[in-house]
This record gives sequence, C-alpha cells and structure tokens, in this order.
Amino acid sequence: MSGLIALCIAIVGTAALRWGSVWFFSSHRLPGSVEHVLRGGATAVLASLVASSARESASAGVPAPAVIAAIAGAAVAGRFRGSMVATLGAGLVAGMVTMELVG
Amino acid sequence: MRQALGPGPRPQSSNRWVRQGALHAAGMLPAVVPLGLAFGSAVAEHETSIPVAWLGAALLLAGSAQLSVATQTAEGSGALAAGAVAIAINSRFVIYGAALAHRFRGQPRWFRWVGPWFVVDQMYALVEGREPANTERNRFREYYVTAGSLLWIGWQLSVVAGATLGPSLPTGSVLELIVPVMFTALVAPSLIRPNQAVAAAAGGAVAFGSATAGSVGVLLAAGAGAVIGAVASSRAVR
Repeated sequence: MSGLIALCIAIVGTAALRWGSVWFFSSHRLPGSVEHVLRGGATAVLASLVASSARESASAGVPAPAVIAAIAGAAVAGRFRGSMVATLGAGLVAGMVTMELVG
Repeated sequence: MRQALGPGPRPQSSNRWVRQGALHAAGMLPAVVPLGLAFGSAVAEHETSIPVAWLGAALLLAGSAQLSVATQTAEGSGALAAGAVAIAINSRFVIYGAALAHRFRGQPRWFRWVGPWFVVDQMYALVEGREPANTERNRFREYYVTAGSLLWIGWQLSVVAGATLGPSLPTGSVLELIVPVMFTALVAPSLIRPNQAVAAAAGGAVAFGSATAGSVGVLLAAGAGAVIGAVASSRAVR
C-alpha cells in the first residue's frame, strides 16, 4: 500500500514539475540568450546521465575501457546523425569488441 | 488561363508533419524499448503488481523514478520519503521543460496542458535534435503530439512486456552497456554546435566527478553545463 501511495506522490510531484516549468517559461518572454543557456543546461543534463550511467556500468563489472569505447562509438555515429539503430549498434559493437580485447 | 499559371505552390500538408513525427518517434523507439523491458523486469523483481507497474509507467512516464519508488518501498522506506526521492530524480524535467518552453508559447491551452506530459529525455532529444526550430506552431503541435503518443505507447508496451517476461529476458554485459550508449545517442546530435558540445563536456565531467550522485549531481551538471556553454558561446560570438 505504501508503494502505491509513494507512486501517487511521485506522479503528482513530477506532473507539477513538468507543467510548472513549461507554463512558467512559456508565459514569460525570455531573452534569446537565456533560452540559449537553458538549452545548454538541458544538453548538460543528458551528458550527465551518460556519465552517471557509465559509472554504474563500470561498478556493475563492465571494464572501464569497454564503457569508454561504447560511449565513443555511439558519440561518433550520433554526431554524424546516424539513425538511432546505427548509433546504438556502433556503441555496442565498439564496447563488445573492446571487452573482448581487454579480456 | 488557369492552366497557364500552373498549380502554384502547394500548401504544406498536415499529414506530412504527422508522418514526420511518427517516423522520428519510430526511429527513437530503439532507445525506449530496451529501457522499458529492463525497467519492467526490474519492477517485477520488486514484486510490484503488473497493474501498478503499468499505472506508474502510464502516468509517471519516468523509469528511473518509478524504479526508485519500488526499490525504496521494498526496503521499508516511508511513502513520503520514497515519493520525494522520485520527484528529486525527475527534477531534470524542469530543465527540459524550460528549454522547450518557447515551442509552447502562443499555443492553444489544450496543447499546453497535454504537451508537458510527454517531456522526457527521449522527447527532448527528438525535438531539439531532429525537428526544425522554425516550424509553424500548428505544425509543431501535430509533430509533437504524434511523436509523443507513439513514444508513450512504445514505453507502455515494453514495460508490460518486461514485467511479464521478466526472468526469461537475457542478461549480461551488453545490457549493462545499453544505458550509457542510449544516453550518448540522445545527446550526440546536439554536439554539432560547439557551445552545446562544451556544455555537454562540462555537464558530463561534473556528473562524473560529483561526489553527490543522483538528482543533485544532475542538477549541478546542468548548472555547470549551462554556464560554461554560455561563456563558450559568448566568446565564439566575439
């Protein structure tokens, strides 16, 4: 029962974050430079998720060089606007090959 | 006379934007389905019933936060504490919402109510990475609602599949690599712009080096990335 209550709290709180943010920032006309900064912040959030998930993978036993190779492979493929399948594939292949090499 | 003038410029078809939204969302599904399967399987391990898992997947639309709720309540945390941690994990949506807000400006009320629901990592990456910035408002609505709905459906189906199949899903090192690779795939298209690349590098470095893991680390990274990216951008302009 406490799980369901916690889930309801999370649902309501998250909804407030999503709606509040969009409504607040779309109701105020911000200078272009501020919008630029916000986009930089959002990109940094995604990058921080890469870093924290990489750390989790390494702590789960995946060799660090394999994690780095996987991220580098996906970054190169995605940088050139490869499809999502190609980007994921490039990252996973690079990671797996490195894992084989480092044993 | 009419024939001599020819057909003239054709108005942009509404279907085109719906189709484009569907195509882009379908392309993003490989970044949604593995996470949904893994998340559904993990939630099932915590003995969360499938209807509750599905309810959370449908309304919360945030795997890591929902998994945190399941883990913490299984470990005996109170409902308020577990809910608060989940909200803190989702605080990154404030940044996405703020960055996407200019697309919601001048839109009808219904869209400003429905649209924020789809604000997740994949949707932010899709809109900022693939959809042209100067799209007309009504075309953007068609694109956004189509893409958001398809990603939502993909997430629900993969969570239910993960919760149902559970132990029969494969495990191993490849799966441990999927999450960082998936987030890299989301951020990579933004790296074309130098200031975004600087922001990403700063955010990644701060998150990696941050002693405070989780949501605080993510927010610190967002702040550092935003400031350093803005400084880099202003230097480039000079």
